[in-house]
Amino acid sequence: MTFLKRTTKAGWQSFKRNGLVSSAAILILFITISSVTSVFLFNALSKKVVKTLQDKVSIGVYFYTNVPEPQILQFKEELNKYLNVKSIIYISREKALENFRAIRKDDDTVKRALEELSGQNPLPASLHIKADNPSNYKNLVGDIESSQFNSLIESVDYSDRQLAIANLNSLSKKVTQAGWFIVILFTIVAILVSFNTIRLAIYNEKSKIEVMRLVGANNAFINAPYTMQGILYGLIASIIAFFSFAIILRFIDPVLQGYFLGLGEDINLSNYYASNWFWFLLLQIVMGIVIGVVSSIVAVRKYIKM
Amino acid sequence: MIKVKNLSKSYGDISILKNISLEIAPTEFVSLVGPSGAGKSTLIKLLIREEFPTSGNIFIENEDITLMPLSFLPNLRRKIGMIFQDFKLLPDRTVFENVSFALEVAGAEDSQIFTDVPKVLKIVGLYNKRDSFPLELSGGEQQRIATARALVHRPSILIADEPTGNLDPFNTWEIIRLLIRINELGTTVVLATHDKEIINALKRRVIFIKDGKVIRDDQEGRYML
Repeated sequence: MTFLKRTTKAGWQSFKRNGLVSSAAILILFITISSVTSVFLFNALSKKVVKTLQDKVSIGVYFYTNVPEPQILQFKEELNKYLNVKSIIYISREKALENFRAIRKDDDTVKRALEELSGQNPLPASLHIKADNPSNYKNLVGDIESSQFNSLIESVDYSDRQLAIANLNSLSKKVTQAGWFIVILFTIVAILVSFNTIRLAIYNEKSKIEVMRLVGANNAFINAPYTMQGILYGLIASIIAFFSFAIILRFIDPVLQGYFLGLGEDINLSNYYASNWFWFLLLQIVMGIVIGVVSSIVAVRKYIKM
Repeated sequence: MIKVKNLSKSYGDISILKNISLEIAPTEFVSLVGPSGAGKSTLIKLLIREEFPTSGNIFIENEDITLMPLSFLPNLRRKIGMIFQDFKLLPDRTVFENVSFALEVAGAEDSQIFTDVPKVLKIVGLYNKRDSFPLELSGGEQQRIATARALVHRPSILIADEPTGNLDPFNTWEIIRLLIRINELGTTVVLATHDKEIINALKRRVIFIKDGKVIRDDQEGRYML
């Protein structure tokens, strides 16, 4: 207990009295923690964007206008049994016309054309199918085209979107892979920079460590104040990073929402950060303290061995 | 108290100490004298196991420190008080903290620290400056902090390596008087110096070292090289 009290006091005093070196170490650790947090947020953002775009993709199956509704609904029931189908929306001919009128309500030419049809509805009924995974669209189209209901279908608009879906699928995979690659790369670089900054800070302490050894301090007694300093560096840097992100994300969100126009309020990093605050704080604190402590121990060990 | 037997130390092909043997009895005041490069500092480094001998043995209180495992070194160094020419103080700790550090590393209780440190600071005349930092004090005062630190855990041996090398004549004699007083209180003192006036005034045992060898060992020596 006395040992803990003394080393805590010595660590805190050294931290306070070497303000400039402590500030530099905290700054570098703050940058490291912020970089890794940013990469995690970027990864979350990219996943969210891809997911939102994927949700907006569907296969449109358009039926001949003479196909009776019960047959279409029977086909819908059949499709619901497919494992890779996430959702199916049925749009009847009447609903399609209603939607069309609503969309083109300000277009006089369309209005006049519809009046000339004198109550006839030229629009087909359709099913809009979403797959649970973009890679399943191709198989799904194959299944639809080979089904017994194929003769009822006038067109499937998947081919128009085939390329976009394939690209999206590939982009989704690449973004995820790149995200992790960046996380690992950034983490390694950031850790190396922090590690060397703390080592340089302790290099200044070389003569102090020598004095400690000469007056009979054992290794634990020499190490402990530096370990305590490492903990303080990490703790302070992580708390600053945590609150900085909480504030900065509020300013970044409107910019992102403007950039990803059309995806609207789906992109909200502040909410994501707030709802996962515990995990972010834990990540930041653990990272800060681990880098701070390991760097301190390795740096001091070099001089203890002299 | 201290027994050095056939001790040699070389760095590569350069031989610093050549097969020296000597004995120092408890409560003796011994001066190690010799020109720069004679091997005095190397001998002192070997006595506190800061360096390891090429051959030979060193016994401190009948224990061969050349065979001592690394984990026992802190205990050895707590038995020996050390004073250096460059003071070797902790610059970011106050006078009080520098002195109390020697007790803290030995695991002393707070009550002992708060009794012994003021006492020893009064002996070296620095009690009033206990909250100052080393760099705020003169060279003589810094050496007195180092002396207080070396004394505070009541070591049986005090080794001083050129303790007056960076001091003016007034402070030099302050430190020497302090060492004599410490010796009179029963501590064995080993003083390495090349200051002729100090040696002649002390009239104590002098061991002359030159080119890594003991060339004279006089019980009441004068400076002669």
